[in-house]
Amino acid sequence: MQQLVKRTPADYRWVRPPEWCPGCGHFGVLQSLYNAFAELNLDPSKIVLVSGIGCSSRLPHFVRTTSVHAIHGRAIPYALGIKLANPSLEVVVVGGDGDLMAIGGNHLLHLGRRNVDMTVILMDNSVYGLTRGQAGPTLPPGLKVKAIPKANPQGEINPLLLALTAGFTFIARGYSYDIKYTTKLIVEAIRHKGSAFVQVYSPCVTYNNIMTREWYEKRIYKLEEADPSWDPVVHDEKEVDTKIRKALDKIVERDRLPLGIFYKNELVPTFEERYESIYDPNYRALPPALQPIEVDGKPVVDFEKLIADKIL
Amino acid sequence: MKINFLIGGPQGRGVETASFMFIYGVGSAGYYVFARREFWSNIAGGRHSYVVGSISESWPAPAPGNSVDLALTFDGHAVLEHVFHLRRGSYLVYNTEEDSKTPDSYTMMSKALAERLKNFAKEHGFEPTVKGYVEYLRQNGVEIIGLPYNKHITEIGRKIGVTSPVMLARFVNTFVVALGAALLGLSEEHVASGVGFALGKKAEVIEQNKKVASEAMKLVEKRVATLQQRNPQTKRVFWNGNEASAYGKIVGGVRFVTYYPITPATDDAMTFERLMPYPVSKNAGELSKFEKIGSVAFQAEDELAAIAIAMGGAIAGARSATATSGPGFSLMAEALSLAGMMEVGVVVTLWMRSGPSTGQATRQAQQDLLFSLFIGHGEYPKIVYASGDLEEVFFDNIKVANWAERYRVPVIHLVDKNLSNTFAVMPLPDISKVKITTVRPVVYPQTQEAEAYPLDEIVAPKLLPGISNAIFHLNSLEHDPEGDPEEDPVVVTKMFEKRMAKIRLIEGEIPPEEKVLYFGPKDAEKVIVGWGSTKPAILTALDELKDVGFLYVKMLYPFPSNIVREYLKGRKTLFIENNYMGQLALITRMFAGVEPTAVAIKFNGRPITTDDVVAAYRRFETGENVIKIESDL
Repeated sequence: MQQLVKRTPADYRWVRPPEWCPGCGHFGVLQSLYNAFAELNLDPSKIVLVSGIGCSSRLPHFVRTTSVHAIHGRAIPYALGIKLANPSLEVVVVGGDGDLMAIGGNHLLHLGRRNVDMTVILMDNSVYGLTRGQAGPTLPPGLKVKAIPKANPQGEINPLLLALTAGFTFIARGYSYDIKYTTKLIVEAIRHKGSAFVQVYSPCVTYNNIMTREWYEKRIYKLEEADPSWDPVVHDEKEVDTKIRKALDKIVERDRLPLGIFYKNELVPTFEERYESIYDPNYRALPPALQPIEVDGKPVVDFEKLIADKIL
Repeated sequence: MKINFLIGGPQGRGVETASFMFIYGVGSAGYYVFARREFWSNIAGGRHSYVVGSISESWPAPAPGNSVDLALTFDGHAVLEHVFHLRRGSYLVYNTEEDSKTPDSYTMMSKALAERLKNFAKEHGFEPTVKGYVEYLRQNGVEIIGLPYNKHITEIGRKIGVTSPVMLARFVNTFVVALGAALLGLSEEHVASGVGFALGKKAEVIEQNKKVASEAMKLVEKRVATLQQRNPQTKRVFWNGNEASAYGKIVGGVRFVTYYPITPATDDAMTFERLMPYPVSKNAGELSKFEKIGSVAFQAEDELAAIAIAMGGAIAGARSATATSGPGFSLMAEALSLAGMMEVGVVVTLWMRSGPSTGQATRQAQQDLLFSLFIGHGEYPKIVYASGDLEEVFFDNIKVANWAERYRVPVIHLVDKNLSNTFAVMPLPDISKVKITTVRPVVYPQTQEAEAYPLDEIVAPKLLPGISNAIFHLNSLEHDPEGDPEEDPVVVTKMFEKRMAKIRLIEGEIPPEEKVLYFGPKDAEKVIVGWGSTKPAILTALDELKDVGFLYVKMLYPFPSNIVREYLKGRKTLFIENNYMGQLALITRMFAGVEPTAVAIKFNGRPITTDDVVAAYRRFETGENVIKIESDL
């Protein structure tokens, strides 16, 4: 029996401290994650935190949950496999813009259309920190951050625009130095039924000398503060198009950068629900990870019945 | 008794359906069939495709050679493709309505073949028409059954009330199969059961086709053989290699299969998918309350994801596999290195095909042995294991899943296009031989931290998220026992040795008979060495080649060096392989320190046949040491 406990953010702190540059935006994401897990009172052995490669992908090492630190760009498919084999797990992906939007961009797209019930947190600083400051896929064109020899000749990806197009059913943006607000967004993302995407502006103090704390704080504002009637939730199927257009209007803003929940639609069936109705009515009760596969070394599947239509 | 047959025609117009009809019909008379399909990487378009196989009273049925006893052709193009696969005593069934056509009439024929055919006609002084080649064959002892197909089919159609040209065109399959069945002395009932199997559910269509078959069978009086109804006294199955693999996975407890579509691998995963949910056996313990159970079959966005998702499934505790072929396998390299580092047991069923690059997507090769051995950066333990026939494909799927779970390493299961497209009527595998060995997960009474990589055990206790009540870290970075990043040289050394110790463990635990098999006289001075799907051809050839042994290697990594060295000591060796480099010969030299005497290689995209083995061995006896095989059936 698991004891009923009320956990605090400190319960999710790993024994070894984070190894990021002092002042790094990622500290804010980390703290927000501790807070969110505590608020949801999640059992740390039932959370799987999955990451790829990069400064932000080191985050799971600083968290007292089960974690998988995989390879560059592939956090989402590793997380997906874990979730599909055991849908009762709380699966959260963290990663940077290089990991999730460049080398792993394809997986992000395809998670969206599947709507698997898991959360992706993008720690966006527009540079490759761990390899010393190359341009990230969210770095706007023409900017010359300090480590690149000339201004960025490539255009940038708008992660939320991509996520919306891909089919994510929860889309939000936070700012790492606003821990309280980011906590709230992560809590909502984890609670959301379906694929949730949270972009967190998380400035790199070492290599991004342009998109700094000051740069962001001049631009960011909160959706619900600017418009108290802001309601990103799809309450009825008929509202889908309107809500997507409203979200889009906000997502494409460039001069000012809105924070908050842009879109939330729980009316779309999750992959798990679809799989259960199409393939296996017992899928969530008896997913692959929870199935016994043998009794005394003998198969649990009836081979002759399985192959009956092929027997002469 | 042994009959080799061939059914050939334009791809996408029913050759496959006709072949199923024929094979099932022969099977329903109580015979065994061992056949394979050759086709281009197209769906339609009219390139030539065919099925070639053997019919036998016993199993294993002999592997086909380079010529057939009976060729059933749909069109003149098919006749021309197989001019060189007929010999004295062979039977050719063909459509005389195409008599006037030439190699150039068939725009989908390879230009190179058209040239070879025309030159041949010129050299032998006959007109390069279908009729010309047929007459040449007749003069050389081939029995010709020439019929005007469309004329007969139209007449039959009139009798059974079908006049639509589209409908009539569809009768060609049944018409050709029925001619073949008649030549083998089969009855209408046998053809009818083939028709029922191949044409599915529409009662009207089946009835019409049965009538077509009945009428067509009256058109031939000659007999290649007279197949009597037999009672094989055993349950038989009609399946192909992809299917045998999927059934092995399901029986072996694999519950998580990912794939990205690729020839010739995907039918493995899709069979796994199609058969879901699976019937539960009576003795399934706590599962018995369920009538059926499911699994996850998942189409990924690419092979990078396919392997990662499968590994995710394994991390969560499911037996997981992915099925792919060379191009997809190339994309999995980084993840397999991770599986070694992070200690995740996952199976890659690698259906090899002819490369490099896109190569010949639907043709045979054994080119990926070296790649499988050395895939992935850095040094890490893995298992590479090959199957050579459909029974092995079935049972080996269970074995490799056991090993992936036991050793928590990536297991590359080598199979190939030849196996995937082998269609066999064969004995149902004896399920009582199946042994599943699972590892129970640790379950702590309360949530606690746990070491994923304890130093005192080569393979750590099994921790599963959400099941073990354990908080643990899996890591691609070099790590300490807790899974935290670590670069201290002392710890790194220990962790490295702990991982690599799995190789010894695997070598020690897996019994020798699962690594290599030896056939033929124990004291033979000469030994053929082979691996994978060349097995049936080599075994069939052994009947003809006296005093030669066959060392058949299944475990390619960790390579069974001592066993192989022991078998080959002091003997002359002929390595026979479906690749250019003689890859098994290379690794035998590398790992076992044995210098191969000769290598026979075939790399034209076609499998090695019984005749190839015999011919290669004869050349080996004359002292040749690099023997290139170029046969083309």
